[in-house]
This record gives sequence, C-alpha cells and structure tokens, in this order.
Amino acid sequence: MILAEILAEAPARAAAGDILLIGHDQTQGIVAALQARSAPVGWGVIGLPSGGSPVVATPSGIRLDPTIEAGLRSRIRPDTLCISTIAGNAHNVLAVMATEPPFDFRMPGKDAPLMPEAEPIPYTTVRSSFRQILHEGDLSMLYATSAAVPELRYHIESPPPLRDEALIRARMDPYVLARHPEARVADAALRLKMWRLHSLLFAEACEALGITVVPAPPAAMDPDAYLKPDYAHPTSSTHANEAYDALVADQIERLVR
Amino acid sequence: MKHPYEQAPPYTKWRHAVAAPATEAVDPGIGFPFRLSRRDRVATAGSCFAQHVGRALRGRGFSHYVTETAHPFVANVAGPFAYEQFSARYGNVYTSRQMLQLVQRALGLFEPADRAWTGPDGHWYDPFRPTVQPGGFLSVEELETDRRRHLACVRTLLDGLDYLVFTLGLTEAWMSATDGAAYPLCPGVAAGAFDPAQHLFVNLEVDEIVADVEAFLALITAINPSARLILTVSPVALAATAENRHVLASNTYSKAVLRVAAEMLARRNPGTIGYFPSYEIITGIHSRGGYVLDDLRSVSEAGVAQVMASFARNATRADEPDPADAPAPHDPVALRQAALFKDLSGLTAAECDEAMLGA
Repeated sequence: MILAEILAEAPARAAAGDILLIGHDQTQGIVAALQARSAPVGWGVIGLPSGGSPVVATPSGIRLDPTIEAGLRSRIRPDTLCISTIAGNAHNVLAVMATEPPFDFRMPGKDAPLMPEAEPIPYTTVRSSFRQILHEGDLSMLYATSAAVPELRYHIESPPPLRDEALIRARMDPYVLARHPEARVADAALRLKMWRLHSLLFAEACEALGITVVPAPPAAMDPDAYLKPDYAHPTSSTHANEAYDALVADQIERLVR
Repeated sequence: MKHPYEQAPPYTKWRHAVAAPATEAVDPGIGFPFRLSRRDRVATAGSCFAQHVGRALRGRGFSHYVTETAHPFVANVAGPFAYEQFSARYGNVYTSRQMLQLVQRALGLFEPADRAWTGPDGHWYDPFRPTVQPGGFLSVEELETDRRRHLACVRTLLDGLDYLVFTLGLTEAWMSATDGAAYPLCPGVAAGAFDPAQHLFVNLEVDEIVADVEAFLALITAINPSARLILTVSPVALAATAENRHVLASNTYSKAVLRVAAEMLARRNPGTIGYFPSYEIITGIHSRGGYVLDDLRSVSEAGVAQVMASFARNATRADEPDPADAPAPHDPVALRQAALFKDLSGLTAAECDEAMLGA
C-alpha cells in the first residue's frame, strides 16, 4: 500500500483549524488518541513501508516523491497545524541488540563509566556515523517534507527506550529472535545514549529548518529518562503504547490551544 | 681489456634505460633485494604517498596488514576518521623522528609531555595525530583512552609484520622544546597553539635520519627478528617550507637528504632494509611531469599504478598465483551483524505496515 492509495481512501479534511500529522509508526496511534477527543485531525504517511523511497533527488536538492507531495498538499488548509512524526526508530534498528564486538561511547557532559568489555568509540565518531546514516535516510525525509510542507511547525520526538532487557526480549519479534538466537539486547545505558543522540541530531536538523521539537512526554519517563514499562507497547519492543500516544495527544492539544 | 661500462647491463645506461624507452617502460626498480609473498604481512606508514601504497597493495592481492580497524558500527565513516589509510590509525608519519617516537611510544619507551591540544571548537586533539579525529575528542580522558588503544594496535603491528613499507616524507619538522617530541604538523595548524618558546623548528640531516631509522628498526627487530624494512621517498613536494628561502629550493634539498639517507640505510643494512625507487618513477624526467596532478604535488593514479607495476615485477614472487580475482573472505561476524540490522529494519517496516493497515 502506498500513500496515494491511502489518501484516495481517506477523504481530505476540510475542517478549519485542523491538524495534519505526517510521519511513520507513531502517527496512527496519536491520530487515534486525538480523534478519541474529537480533534479535527488528519494524517499522512510519507514512507513506503513495502519498499521504495519517498525521497527523490532533483537538481534543486532532495524532494518528496511528487505523488506524495501532492497528496500532502491537498490536505493542507491555511490554518492546518502540520506536525512531523517522521521516522524515529533508527536508534533501535542500529542498537537495540548488541553489536559484535560491543561498543560504548560518552555523550557530552556525561561522566558515567563505559561498559568495561566494550570497545570505546569517541563521541564524534559515533555522532558522525549516525548523522551520515540519518542524513541519507530518515533526515532526508524530514528535509524533503519540510520543503514540500513549509507549514511544518513541530516534530514529535520519538519515545525513549525501555530499560528492562527482559521486557525488550519478551516483546521482540519472534522471527528476529529465531533468526538470531545469539543476539542479546544491548546494554540499557548504550540504548539510552543512542536515543539521546538520535534526538539531538533530529533537533539540530529541526532547528535548521525552523521546526520546534516536542519532547517525549516527561510523565512517560522514569528519572533516568527510560520509558516507563506502563507505556511499553504490548507487542513491540521498540514502540510505545496507546497511553503514551494519549500523552502526546495532550501535548498537541496544548499546542493548538 | 674492456672497460667497466662496456660490460654493464643496459639498465645502467641513460640512453637505453631512460631516454629511449616509452615512459611506462622505464623501470628503476630492478635489483630490489626482497621478494614479497602475498602471504607476507605488509605494513605501511609514512607520508601521504604511503596511503597509495597500502591501497595498491590491497588491490593487487597483497596482505596489507592492518591492526587498527574501525568498529563495524562506525565503518561508514572509517575513511574520514583515518582508519585503514595505514596499518594503524597514526595518520601521516612525515619524518624519521616521528616514526622512531611512534615505535618508542608503542613499546612504552617514551611518553611525550605534550598530551593534548585544544582546537577552535573547544574539543581535544592528539598532538601526534591531530587530523585522525575530525571534530576532536570530548575530553582528555576520551583522547587518552583512544590513544592507549591506538598504541596497543601499533604494538600488535610491530609484533606481527613481515615487511614495513615506510615512506620518508619530510626533513622539516616541529618538535617540543621540553622533550624533543616530534609533531606531524606545526602546532596551531590543525589544533593547538604555536608557542615559539615551546615549539622548535628542525631540519633533519642525513646522519640524524639514518640514526632514527636504524634505531626504530632495531626496536622492531628486537621483538620481531624477521621484520624487514622497505624504504621509499615521497615524490610529493613540500607544501611549504619553514626555511626562509624558496620552497622549490627547500624541496630539492629535503628530497636529496631523504634519498641519500635511504641509500645509506640500504647499503649499511642489506639484509633488512631495501630501497624501492618510487620517487624516481614519479619524478624522473622520463615522466615529463605526467605522473603529478595540476597542483604539481599530488601523484596521479597513473603514477601510482606505474609504481605498483614496478613493485610487482621487482619485489614480489613471480611464481605465485595472483589472488586478486579471488573472492574476498567472508567475515562471519560482519555478515551476522548485517543480517541482524536487515531484520531489525524489516521489523520496524513491518510495524509501519501494521499501522497503515489500521488507518
């Protein structure tokens, strides 16, 4: 299923003062939470989950696929509040499971000791590597969407990771575990650092684009910033649940007010 | 009785060996003393020309011995962070003194007083490899941690190499007034701050270079008795001279000193040091400048290819099959990791699909 088909199925909303969420995994859950309180909200998915890229290179830079861009534009009214929920899972793809050999790094301003058995990698190396991966992937979608939708005002930070390794493993897709029986969940502190770095790189991109980041709701996080188990997705180790989406919906409502 | 020149082989005569042949047929590598096997572990160090050597060795199926590699997680930025440019992440080693001290530091025999420089970004840089970490280190501790790992990798390299290809690049250098530590770059260029009271200019002479090279080779062979040294002189000209004279004059002097030192070293140590004339191949008048790029410094790919063709003819075993076409050995860890990333990517995509289907 591609975006054009989704848009064809879902009639464009013409309501004044409505909200358009543009993004991926988290989008539908937040939309449902907003709709539950009768918010005039629409949504669009800019990814093509079954393959293909929504981003195309043009002489003037990267742009959204014209079909997707047209679909999004058709849903935007002068007073539509456009919010990005683009991507947000790259840190999990890269680091929810431990690498071989394990590695670790320090974030700026943090003095916590590194894992003793891990290969220490300087922060600027990890940052440069992750930035390149995002630049070629998820951030390119943010750039392209911002070009197509200059009205994009906010970006929703992705949920933080769970602390509990057993909980992550319990909710990991059985297919992945069966295919990689030797894989183990990465150290919790490393996963948290990867999420923080992911958020930092998105925040820098958003600042350059004039987009405000809406941080993950503090109520869903424990004192160390891990996702509280109460907000863990029932079947996914890398997503948050409906209660978390409701907290984000609260944040969006506050933005609207 | 015939005089010596009558019986001399053609390659000793300019007209036959330089003037008459086509450029690519001029081959001064003849008579090189060693024959490398593709099973030999060949390490590289030196100035920027040595980077070409390492890459060309790999391309021709030789074992470019690398002991400091990027963690697979950051392999996508290995190049900018100076991994695998040389056998370890020491960056350019321009002078014999720098190489001697690198070996001493790896063996725990020397610890320079100058530990860290700050850059304009407020981050920290290693004075002895200031360009290997773009963006610098967050702290002196992070720098020291990385340096300990680096020097351990250098120690492993010295233990395990069969041949070290070392390219002599410069005679001009900057050193610490405190302990003589040799910097690859003048303080203040890439990081740090220049202090004329602390940073001294030296222009190494032949006997100093010979002593440096013999000293570091002695240290290496003390732990690795079969190690052999292949010296080359970088054909890349000086970018700038700190002497108050024309850079062309300084360049000629510097290359002459390096070439004489290399010759003396090879003659004095025939069993352990060989000189390979890549400098002559690139800069010889037979090339008519055809092996340098428009900046009149950088060596062209054609020049590198010519050097390596001569190296293959004169410095490798002809009876060995060329494994260059053989498939690269699979790294089981890398393959396993790649498969895991792919499946995790697929997992998040599948979760996207679920969300869309619920729309």
